[in-house]
Amino acid sequence: MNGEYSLDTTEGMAASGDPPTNNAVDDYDAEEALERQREEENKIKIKLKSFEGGVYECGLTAAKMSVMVANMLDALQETDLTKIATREPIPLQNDAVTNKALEKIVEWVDHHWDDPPIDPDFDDEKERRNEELSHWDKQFIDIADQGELFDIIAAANFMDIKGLVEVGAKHICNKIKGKSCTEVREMLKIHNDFTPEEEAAIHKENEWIYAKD
Amino acid sequence: MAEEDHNYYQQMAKKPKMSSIDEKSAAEECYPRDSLDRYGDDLCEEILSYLSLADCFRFECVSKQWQRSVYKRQHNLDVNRIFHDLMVPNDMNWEAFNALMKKLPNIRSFKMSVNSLTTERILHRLTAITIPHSPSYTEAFKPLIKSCTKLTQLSTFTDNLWYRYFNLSVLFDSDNQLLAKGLTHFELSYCFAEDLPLFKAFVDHYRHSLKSINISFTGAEYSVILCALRELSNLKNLRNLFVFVDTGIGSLKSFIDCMQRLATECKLLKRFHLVMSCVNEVTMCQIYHTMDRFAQLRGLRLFFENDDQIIGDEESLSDSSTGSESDDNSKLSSIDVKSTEEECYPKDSMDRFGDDLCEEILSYLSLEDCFRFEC
Repeated sequence: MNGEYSLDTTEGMAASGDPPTNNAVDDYDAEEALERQREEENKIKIKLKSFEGGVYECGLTAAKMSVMVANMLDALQETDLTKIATREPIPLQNDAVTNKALEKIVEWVDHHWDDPPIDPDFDDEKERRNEELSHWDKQFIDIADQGELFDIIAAANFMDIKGLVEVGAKHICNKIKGKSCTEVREMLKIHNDFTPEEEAAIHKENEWIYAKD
Repeated sequence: MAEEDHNYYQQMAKKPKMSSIDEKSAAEECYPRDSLDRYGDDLCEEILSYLSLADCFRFECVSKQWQRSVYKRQHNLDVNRIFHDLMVPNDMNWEAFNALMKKLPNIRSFKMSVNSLTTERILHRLTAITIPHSPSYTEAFKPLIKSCTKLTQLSTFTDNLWYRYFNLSVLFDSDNQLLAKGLTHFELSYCFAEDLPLFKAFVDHYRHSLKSINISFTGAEYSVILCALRELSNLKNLRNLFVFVDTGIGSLKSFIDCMQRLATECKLLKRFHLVMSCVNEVTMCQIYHTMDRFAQLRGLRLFFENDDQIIGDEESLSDSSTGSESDDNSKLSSIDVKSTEEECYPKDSMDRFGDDLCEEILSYLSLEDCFRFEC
């Protein structure tokens, strides 16, 4: 999906606010009503507070992409959603949720909030796993500062935003695909805690696989 | 940690607490922010789950954490793809294969092609085999059944419209001796009155052990169907039954009798799927009402057809709270079987290997089976 396109549609719909079309089938109507509700809810802005204290605004529907945030909001049992907007910012108590990371996360959910929800009955997980990242996601996740990248993934994992963790995981896997162990260790700054003997043993065990290449 | 590195480590982040599994977390260890070491095993597993299996092998020696994590989320193994030429020709690399099984503890589905030169060595290890429906494959497979000592499930790729299964003779040798004795699931096409003696022998042996059977009466005469259904009620341990009838039924009463007998005899039956064509509405209703008698039923699917017009469709039994669910969420293994079959079909280019010696044999291993596999 193209970033600008989705931005345009959201703004366009919000501005015009047409009544729903009447001559559609019931199912379609229900779907559209739900979409409209999500859209309306996303206009309500809630505040999220990072571990470092920075406060960021985020659409309600978008924020609910974080299962953790959604659960916290549910726990409030607030029927008047607009009141949520005036509440204290929601604190995110994990040191990975830095200001920068939260800023990026809000950017991501704001872009993806209208993604169709994953249907567990029909979604072919294998296919989704193998699917390449969208252009927007690629640019989004291509972050020079590796510490920040890891913050974002850890924070997304903490906030339980599956889609974003997936983007991060795919990004990292794409980078290390086909590289040697030494390169991977250097790149991801992983400490090699094997003794040379242990490493040699693994190499020997996997010999038949390397021989294939 | 060397002292001169001190500045470098100033930017350290504490290990996130979500790593419930990581035994090190108690030690208050610190890792640099930009090192992947800061992640716990769970996040590490998640990230590495997007790697191909080939990359997994190479990265096993990156660190101990990676060694622990790298194979955890690999659930599907396509042996053909991993082994390429190693497997398909004559020499199956057993050492390699066993090593692979040890490494991959969480494999749920498993797919391989085997030609007959290797089949004899692998067959005794398989617990479930699926063969494409075609007389030549079945014929080629038949002599090998005897070596499948662990075989419990024998099924075939079905084309969903016609339900063509095995002919019963596949399980019997020329002296009418039963070849496979440990089955729990079988799929059978039953068309002629001549099948009855074999079927009797089959039922006799499996009276207390067969748990699941698919039986298709494509084009069978009504009397043949009745005999078979009566015989079927002797399978006391049946949990899952599928019946396909495409010829009309003669006397409704005798059919209902058969159903009632099934209901009283097969007390453990949990899932029943009945597909019938050439049935009118009255018959359908009556058959439906006999279903009340199946006390243990958790999932029921009825499909009636009358001159291209579908009158009845899926029904779920209301006498149990899990009624509708259990039908949809049938056990993982059976879902697995289905999806792997579907995947396999397009790739089903066994013609490549030339002759009827080639067989596509699939085995779906549960975790348990995997371990069994190792020895």
